[in-house]
Amino acid sequence: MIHGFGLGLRPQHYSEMLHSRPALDWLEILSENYLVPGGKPLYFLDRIRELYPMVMHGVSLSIGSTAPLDFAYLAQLKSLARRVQPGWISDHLCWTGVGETNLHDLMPLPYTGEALRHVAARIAQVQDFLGQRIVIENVSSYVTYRSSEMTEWDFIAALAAEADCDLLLDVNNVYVSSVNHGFDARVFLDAIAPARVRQIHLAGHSHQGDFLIDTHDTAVAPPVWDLYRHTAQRFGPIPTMIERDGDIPALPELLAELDSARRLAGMTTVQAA
Amino acid sequence: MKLAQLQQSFQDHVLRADMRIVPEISGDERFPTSMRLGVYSDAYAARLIEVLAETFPAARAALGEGSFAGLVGEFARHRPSRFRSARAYGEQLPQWLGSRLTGVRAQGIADLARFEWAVAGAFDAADQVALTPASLADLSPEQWPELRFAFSPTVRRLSVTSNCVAWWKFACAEASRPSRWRSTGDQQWLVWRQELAVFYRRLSRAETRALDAGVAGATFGQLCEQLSSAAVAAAMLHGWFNAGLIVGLS
Repeated sequence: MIHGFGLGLRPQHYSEMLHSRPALDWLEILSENYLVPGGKPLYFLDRIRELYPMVMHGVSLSIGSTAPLDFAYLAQLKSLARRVQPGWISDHLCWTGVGETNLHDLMPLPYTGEALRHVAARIAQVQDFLGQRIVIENVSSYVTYRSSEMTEWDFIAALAAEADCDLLLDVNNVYVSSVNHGFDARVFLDAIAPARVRQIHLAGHSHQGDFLIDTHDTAVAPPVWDLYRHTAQRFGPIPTMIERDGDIPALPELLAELDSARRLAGMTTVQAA
Repeated sequence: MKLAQLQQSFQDHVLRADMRIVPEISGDERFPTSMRLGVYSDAYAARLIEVLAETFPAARAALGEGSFAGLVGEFARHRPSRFRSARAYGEQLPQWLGSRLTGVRAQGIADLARFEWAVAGAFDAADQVALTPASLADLSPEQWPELRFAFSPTVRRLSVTSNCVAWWKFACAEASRPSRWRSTGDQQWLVWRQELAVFYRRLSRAETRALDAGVAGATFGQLCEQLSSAAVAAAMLHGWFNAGLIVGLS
């Protein structure tokens, strides 16, 4: 059972995780980092898994692509899930390429009925294959398609109901997109049914002129903390974590940042593992 | 525009600045369409440059940050990734670097990148328990000539024609700056992992031939014949066991 506050497991922290066993309720792993035959990644994964519950988070599902689903990838994911026994498996509401190309990016979808039906059908296929409900995360975006027929939040709410999937709410992504597209982030959050939300991401972003880029290489920004306070009030005690992918600081810095999340959510700190 | 066409158009814009996607995107004065699309185009190359810089740090150091970024950026646009893992996409980079550079440095940089790719491959190759020399203790003399060996999946063998490993050690701050890229002749290198640590060492021509034969399934008797000496073959085999290269006997 996953509850409380976690961090994304990063190779820079492997040894410290094992030796100092920091006070964390759970860890999120990047699934792709462990879809390898052997060596250090799996060695540390197995040992750290003995200490902490985990969830799996991927970037390659490409659930919104019009290219066929990659069942070889799904088979690898299923095999990793047998090893990790994660609380859940998540990926992003996006596409990563068409044809055989991979852009290695989280490309946004148009919010149309066509896209909704397409993604919902693919989520159903993935859930059937994996034998479990999956968790889908909202992405940061920089473009708005003229063809969109609904808002992002209406699309996500409808998708969760239609596909019967759960949601990973990335509060930083909501904020970044709200600035880039000029909408009220609270309206987004208030449109999401609390029962669907399994996990919350917090992360940092960067300013590029008047707009924001979701870079995950800085501390969580004050407006995102404000939005998290609103999120915690609306959704209650949802498992929350800090997601840091660049300029990764020493573990104590991330743990201190996570304590800020605990305080905002009104939770007490946990004991070391 | 249907979803499939929209995605193809967007991808074509990211990879080769195709403009069919432009009318499909809203923009405003504050954040114009071109700038919005540019975030994705720029991120594509930037992400691959960042990931490949982690896999090829010595090639990056030898080329310089700007030159490495330029070459990988070209690579990303001319040979788009078909790999799920951005790291796996690096497999073709050594050849690309060799084809885009000129002079003696071209071969050196390509060799250096091949060496780094071998190190990366050994790093997370499959785990198999290495046998110790004690595994040979119970063999009868009659079994030895027909004995075959299974090698660790971490084993990588490279032939290079440059002084690339000296440059790799320089990039890792393990040696001083080499004076040249050119090697006095071909060099044979072995890269492998023992437990969690990746090792490398230079091979003699005789050991290279024996190792290649052993990996291809030669018997111990054939190795003795190739080396013209049972004692030399036995010593070589002992070294392979001690290095953790052997994971099975048949």
